Order: sequence, then structure tokens, then C-alpha cells
Amino acid sequence: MTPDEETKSKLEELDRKTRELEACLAAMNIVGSSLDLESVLNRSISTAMQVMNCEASSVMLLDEETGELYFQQAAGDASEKVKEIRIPPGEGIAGWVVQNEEPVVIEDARNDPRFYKKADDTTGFVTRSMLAVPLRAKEKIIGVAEAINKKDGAFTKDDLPLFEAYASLAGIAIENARMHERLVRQELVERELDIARQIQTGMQGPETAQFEAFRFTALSIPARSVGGDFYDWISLGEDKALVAIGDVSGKGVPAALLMSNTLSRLRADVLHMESLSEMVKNLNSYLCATSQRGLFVTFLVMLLNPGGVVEYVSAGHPLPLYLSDRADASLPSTKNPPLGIVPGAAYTSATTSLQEGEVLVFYTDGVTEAASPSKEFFELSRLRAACESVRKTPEKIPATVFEHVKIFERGAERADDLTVLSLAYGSGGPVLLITYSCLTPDDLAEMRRQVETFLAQLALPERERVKIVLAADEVCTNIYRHAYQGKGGPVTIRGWVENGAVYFEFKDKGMGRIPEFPPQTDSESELKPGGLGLIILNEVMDSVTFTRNPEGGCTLRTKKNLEGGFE
Amino acid sequence: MQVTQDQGPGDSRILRITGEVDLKSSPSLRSELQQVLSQKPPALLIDLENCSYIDSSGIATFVEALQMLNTFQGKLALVRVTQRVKDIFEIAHLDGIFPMFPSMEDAARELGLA
Repeated sequence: MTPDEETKSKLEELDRKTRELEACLAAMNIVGSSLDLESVLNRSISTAMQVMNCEASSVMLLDEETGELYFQQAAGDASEKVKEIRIPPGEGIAGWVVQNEEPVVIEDARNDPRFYKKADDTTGFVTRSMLAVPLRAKEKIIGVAEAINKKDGAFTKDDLPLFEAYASLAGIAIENARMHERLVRQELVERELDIARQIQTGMQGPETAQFEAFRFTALSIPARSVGGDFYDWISLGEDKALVAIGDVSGKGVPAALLMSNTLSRLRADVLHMESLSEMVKNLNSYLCATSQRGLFVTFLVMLLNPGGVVEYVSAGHPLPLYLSDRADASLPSTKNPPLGIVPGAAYTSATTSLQEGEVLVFYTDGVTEAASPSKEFFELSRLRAACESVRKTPEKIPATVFEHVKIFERGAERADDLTVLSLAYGSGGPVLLITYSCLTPDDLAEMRRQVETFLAQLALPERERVKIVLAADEVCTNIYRHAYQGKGGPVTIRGWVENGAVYFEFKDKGMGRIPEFPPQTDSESELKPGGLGLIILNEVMDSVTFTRNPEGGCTLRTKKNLEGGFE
Repeated sequence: MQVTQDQGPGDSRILRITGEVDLKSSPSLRSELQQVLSQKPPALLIDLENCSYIDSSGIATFVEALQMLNTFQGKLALVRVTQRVKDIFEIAHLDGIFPMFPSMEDAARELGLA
């Protein structure tokens, strides 16, 4: 080699090294530039074409299921057509690269037996020389990068290191983009679960509710995004309400589906419920017929009646915790199987009477079986202690139980949903309940005494008390005279305090018409039957509603605000 | 409820009502009033000092008495009405219809009874 030739060769060498460095820098930029697979590949290929000074370039990826190679991205004259091509395993130069895990330099493709001619036949592109190198991600071959037809002459072995350097960075970029795509997809699934959770939470019953002297507070937290616990509070007209709690075996989406199925069925069935036992029996038959995969539901439903009388059916669900000062306060067991297991099973109910100040705490086994890091269970004893600590403010029970469970778990992963409902009777204020099998004028004085005694427990000025007693008297008088046409009949009077107002309800079974209300305050209407009584009623109460009972008779409900508004 | 009758100044009649007037007792109050008014006294003074309660049926009997008195230009006065009962008349919007006096003397003077 002459000194000139030597110099030239050194310069060429230097030139190549410079291009290699540029290529590496360009390829490195690609790795960090984007997380979108398509834009990463686009950039890699245009970089490859520039750096390798070639007519076309492509990235083929391996279909892990079929072993075929497909053109993920290509640049050059035939870049659109090649996308239709799928190269069977082991075929063509790219197939050879995958099988042998080695790069290939082909100076004359048409005369190389490994060349996959179909690609050129499809595209009309003429491949002369090419470089094909494996694309790797975490030591695994994920595809092949090709540079085709060097613009000045043919590819040689000298071009390989540069293309390999490019390919190794492209591999990383592809892997990053794929990983990102997986993350995005996972996030999408999680977001969908989150939406499912919101829908499920929306399906659950209200967080608080009130009926007569019953006060209800609920809290339910699923262990996974969607859970199998459910609860509900359903008002049944004016004189009954229903509490339900349930736990579907299993967790996640299948449990949630069965849960929503049970809940919607319950809501539909309850409207034409004949008896509690019968309703649960029907619910069981329905779930036996529809639930699959060994899923079942433990369920407890309780019907609340005025005066604290509750009827309940437990279908394999733990009975509520009974917080009471009475030593003998207990709920008789009903011993029924869970729902969805025994077709045609009969369900028995039990009845008990809650006293003033007593509380029932409904829960799912996620609470008692919450585990500490040392695998100890929360147990009934801790649940009771948590409840007793706030018994005087029963609306705080669910949140307090959760706090206690959380402290007990000390960060241990929760295995099951948690649901706690507190049902307090009374202590939200005084309650009045008077029932007459046959109300006559002889009962009126005693009725007034009872209403007066009830009202004396409220922060009401004496003059207001007198007015309310008068209004109650007028209602009873009208019921006697008009609903029972002066003959008397059954009347139930209830009074309670709710959200800063005192409510009364007068229920009869008579034939009376619902009067025009509020009455016209002219002298003519005062002469109508009951006219003056209605005027008084309208004057005293903040609101008065009449409704016809489905079983006959009428219910009159009055509301009088306790705070402000006194004349 | 108990009702007693008395002779008042200038041929007027006094009716003293004790206790509570409601749907149970208003019929006997009504017959008592009708009996007194059948004698067409020039004035009827109803003493409500010991009447603790009256309902709309009681008020209705007073309205009826007032209407009967009007037929022969008799006068009606409610005397010594407790605040409780006054409140009830107010609620019924009938407090302006019945002249009320704090004492028998006031009533006799205002009604021009000797």
C-alpha cells in the first residue's frame, strides 16, 4: 500500500467511524424520543436509511404465535405493499436470521438461495444487496432489521457493525414502546375496573336513611376494585322499610355481576312481597337457576315495622351484632342455607322487638376475618369493642369499625370486602306510637295527653305544643266524623323527630275522601264538614300530605319544623 | 268539661265552662247553649277562666250561639279567656268575631249591662 493509499484508507476508515458514531447518536435519540411503537419504528427506519445510505429499510417483527415475520414498518418505494407480506418461519433471509440468530450480509440477493423472492414479486421492488440483523429485546429475538440496496455499490461486511449497533438500540426502543403499550392497556383495564366499581357503588343502598325511629348508616369498601359485598335500604311506602346485606362468594367481576343481579332482583321482588320468607325463597330459586361456577350468596334481610318490631331472614349470613343494655337481648337464629345452593329450600324468619337506644350492627365476614400481619383475625370481639366505643352515636359505628380494622391490619393486604351497617332504634329523639282498634271521642283527651307528653320531650315553647296537640285532635276528630262517619274505627298515630322537624302520621282504614288541601280560608269552606279543623291543621303544620293506603283508608302525614319559624 | 249557669247583670246569663271542650264534650255544651238561648237573654257572658282547651267543634258551637243571638239582637262576650284558648281562636282566624274581656265587670260595662 502506497502512503497515499494508506492515507486514503485511513481517511475512509475515519469517515466510516464518524458515520457509525453519528448513527449511534441518532439511534440513541430514538430510544429516548418516544414511547409510541409506530413513531419509534418510523424514526428508526428513516435513521437507518440515512446512516446506511440505502434505498429501503424495514423492520420485521416476529409473530410469537405463528413464528411468521411481518413487516411492522418499512420505508422506501414499496413500503406500503410489503405490509401485506408474512414470511413463514425459516424462509427467506430474514427467516434465516431468526433461526440462526446471526446477521447476514448479501452482496447479490437474486443469486442467494435464501432470498425470499415472493417479497419482490409482490412489490415489484428489485432487491440487489442487503443487510439483515436480528432485533433483540432482553436476549430474545423479536424481529429482523433490514437495510436494502446500498446507494453506492453493494453492502459489505464492513457495514455490519454500524447496522448492528443501530439494531441493538432499535430493539431497546421497540421493547420500551411495547412495554409502554402494555402499561397503557393495563391502565385502561384498571380504569374500566374503576368505572365498574363506581357503577357498583352506585348500585349499593344509600349511606344513610331513616324510617320512623330507625336510623341507618352504611359503609362498604371492596377489597379489589369490584367486590361481592352488597347492601340496601328500601322504603316500602310509609309504614315499612327493609334492610338487606349480602356477600357473594368469590371476588372480582364475576362476584360483582352476581351481586348486582341479586340486588336488582331483590328490588323488583320486594315491591310485591307477600311475606319475607316467601320473598327470600323466590330469590333463592332464581339464583339457583342462574348462578354458576359454584358462586353463592349469603344474605340477610330485615323488615322494619313501626314501634321497633323487626322481622328478619338470614340465608347463611351472620346475624347482626346486638348492642343493648338488656342482658337477654338476642336475635333468634333462623338457620337457613345461603342463596343459590339448595333449589326449593324454605326460608324461615324470626321476629324481635328493638327497644329505645338499641343498635344492630350488620356486617360481612370480611370484617371479622380481616387479618393482621401475624395472621390473627379481627374476630367478633374486636368488632363488638369498636361498636360499643361509639354506641351512643350509632351513625359513627361503620367508620369507627373501619378505622379499627385498618389499624389492626397494619398495612396487610386485605383479602375481602368490608361492609358495616348500623341500624339504631330510637335515641334520635322521642317516639310516639298510639294505636286504637276503635277510636271514639272518648279517647281524645287521653290521645292529647300522650301527644303532649311526647312533645314535652322536644325543645318547643308551650304555645307551640298546644297548637300541635290541637292539630292532632282535629285530625282525629275528622277521622272519626268523616272516615268512620261517626262510628269510630282503627287509627294508628305515630310521631317522631327527623332532621329538625317533628312528624306525625295518622293512619285510618276508613272510607273518607281525601279533602281539598290546603283549605280555602273563606267562610263558606268553614261550613263544610271538617272545614275548620283543616284550617287549623294547615295553620299549625308546615306541611300536610294525604295519601290513600293500598290496603284501604288514608294516611295523613304532618311535618312541623322545630327550629325557627315560631310566631 | 263541666258547664254551670248563673244569672248575670241586667238579665244577662253567665255560662262557666270548666275543663276541655272537644268532640266528646261539645254536644253537651251545645245543648246547654241552646237551652240558655231559648230564653233569649239580652246577653250571654261565657266565662272561660277554667277552660283549658277548646277544639274546632267547641268553637263551632260558639259560632252557632253567636248566630242565634244575632236573630234577637242578643250580645255575646267571652270573658277571662286564657292565652291557650285565645291562641286557638287565633289559629282558627275567629278571634276577631268574639268580643273578649278580661273580667265580668269589663264585659258588663262594655256591653252596657246594668
